[in-house]
Amino acid sequence: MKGTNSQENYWTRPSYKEKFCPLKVREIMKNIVEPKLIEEKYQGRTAINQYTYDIAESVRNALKDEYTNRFKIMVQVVIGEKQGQGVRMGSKCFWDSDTDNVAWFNFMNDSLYCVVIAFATYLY
Amino acid sequence: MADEGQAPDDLTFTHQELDEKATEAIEAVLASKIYDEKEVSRWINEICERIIKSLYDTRKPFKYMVTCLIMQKTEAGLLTSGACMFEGGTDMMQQFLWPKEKAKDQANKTMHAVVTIFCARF
Repeated sequence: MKGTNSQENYWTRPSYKEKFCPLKVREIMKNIVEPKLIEEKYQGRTAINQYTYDIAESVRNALKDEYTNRFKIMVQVVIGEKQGQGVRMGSKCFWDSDTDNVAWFNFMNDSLYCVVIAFATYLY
Repeated sequence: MADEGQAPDDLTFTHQELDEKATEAIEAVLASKIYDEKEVSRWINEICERIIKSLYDTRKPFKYMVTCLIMQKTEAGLLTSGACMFEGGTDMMQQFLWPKEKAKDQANKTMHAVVTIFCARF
């Protein structure tokens, strides 16, 4: 990963301002997902495929701009059709809880639901 | 097996390795179960824990994030994708679907599971 010259920078913890802030990231995700999906219907695999890819890329790029250099960003987007089926998603992480964090956002309209989850791990 | 204090030989995970860990964990938990809304969160918890434990046991210098999605089997469609910004050679993001295409007959007939494993080197 380019960016930080490790010879100049010896921080092993992000400063308070640099910390990954889940609330702020949620807002970012909301601003990306809602305009795209608010009017959409689940039309079929090929149409929605592009949306998952677009949303994942947009969220990742937005977080890349927000948290340059020191964080590795991993974003996952799930879009599913609402047919009354039961569905549940959960996650577990093994990391340094002082520096690493997660943010997620759920969206639903009449025909589909969308879950965006972003993990950020600090690069020491 | 590496000696104490010596770094492991290969510092990355292969698709095969992660596939085995994911399949093993899911089979252990979901093998002959029927989708039950009250039990689902417990299953997800257990699957994620098993995978994290088997990843941790490799003693590689990685941070792990595992997500698991369990969905009742209906005609409904589901799509997932991921985008990451990490180190190309060493970090991984892999997604696995269960039951696999080949094992359709014996496998569970009531639900699908999708497991995503992220590994970030530190």
